Amino acid sequence: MSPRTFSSSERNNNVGPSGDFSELIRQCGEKAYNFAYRLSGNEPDARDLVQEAFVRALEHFGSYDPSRPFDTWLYKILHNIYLDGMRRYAHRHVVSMDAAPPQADTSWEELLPGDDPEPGAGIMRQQEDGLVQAALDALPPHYRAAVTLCDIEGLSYEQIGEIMSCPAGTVRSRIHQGRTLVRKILEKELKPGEKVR
Amino acid sequence: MKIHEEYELISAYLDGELSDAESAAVSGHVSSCPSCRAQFQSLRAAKARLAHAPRRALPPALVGQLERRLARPTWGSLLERLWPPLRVLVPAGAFAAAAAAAWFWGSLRAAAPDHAIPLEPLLAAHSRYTAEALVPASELVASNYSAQLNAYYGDTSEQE
Repeated sequence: MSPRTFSSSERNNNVGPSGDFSELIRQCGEKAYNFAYRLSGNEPDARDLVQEAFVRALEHFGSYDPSRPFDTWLYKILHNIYLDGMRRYAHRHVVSMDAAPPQADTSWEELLPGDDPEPGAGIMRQQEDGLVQAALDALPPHYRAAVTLCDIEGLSYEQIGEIMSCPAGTVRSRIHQGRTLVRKILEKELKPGEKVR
Repeated sequence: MKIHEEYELISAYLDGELSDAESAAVSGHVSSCPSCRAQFQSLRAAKARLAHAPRRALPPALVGQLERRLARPTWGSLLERLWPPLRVLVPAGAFAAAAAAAWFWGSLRAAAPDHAIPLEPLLAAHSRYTAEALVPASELVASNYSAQLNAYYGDTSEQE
């Protein structure tokens, strides 16, 4: 089956579907995957989040406002799916606040030797990535999403408010609280998973 | 501006989300207050570490999975594709069904025998029976009663 093409009326002025599915995935897939990975903290869940977000985006394409960036809309869908999953999980499980945070899965691509001329630098990058992810995993979901969107994805408070469906003041507060916690964890003031004030 | 109490302002300043006046106030305060300067520097370092965290490339296998899954028609896309003909067919079908039901009901009424009970003879019979009931039971004879009944039914058939 050939991929469905988007009509001109469905095209976005900023970042959006401007051709077929391959183009849509090429434009927004990596951003969505990074966001999903930082939210979920592991590759399998990030894959599922991205797939579900794209499917829902296309199912509800009629409600998309073409004057707005497509990637922001996709982030919003992905974030909602993530929160739904968190709520379902919290409803079924008792989560220990003292438990160590889940460790990120390591893909085979990361384990196999690459073409990095400085293997030591690669290891350092992996360690740094692990530290950052562990710090993010220790945050409450709303703080994690706000900090990821601001500091990793580089979005404005207005865009983050749109994605998280909250006013700019709440966004500012969540970013500051989350960033303060990340700082404390990275500076070893707190251990990942330790309860914070 | 209570910057000490609102460290959020320092975060917002780092993110370039303050107005010019607010930025100037925070900048001036941070340069003169050691506590806020330390807060500013540590938050800036945390932001930089997050910003430089390695980005994950989209796994090639996931791209293939996405393309296959998105090429598959979903319920939403099926409905979207089927809606233009359905928009015409659904009201037309509803109208045809209503017309067929009306015709069927009409034909049933036409074919049905008239079982309606005539009300006036029935009321007359009831009055007569009430009067007859005043006659003492000892004077009632079965044959007389049968004759009265025959007379009554004969009367009603004549009225019809």
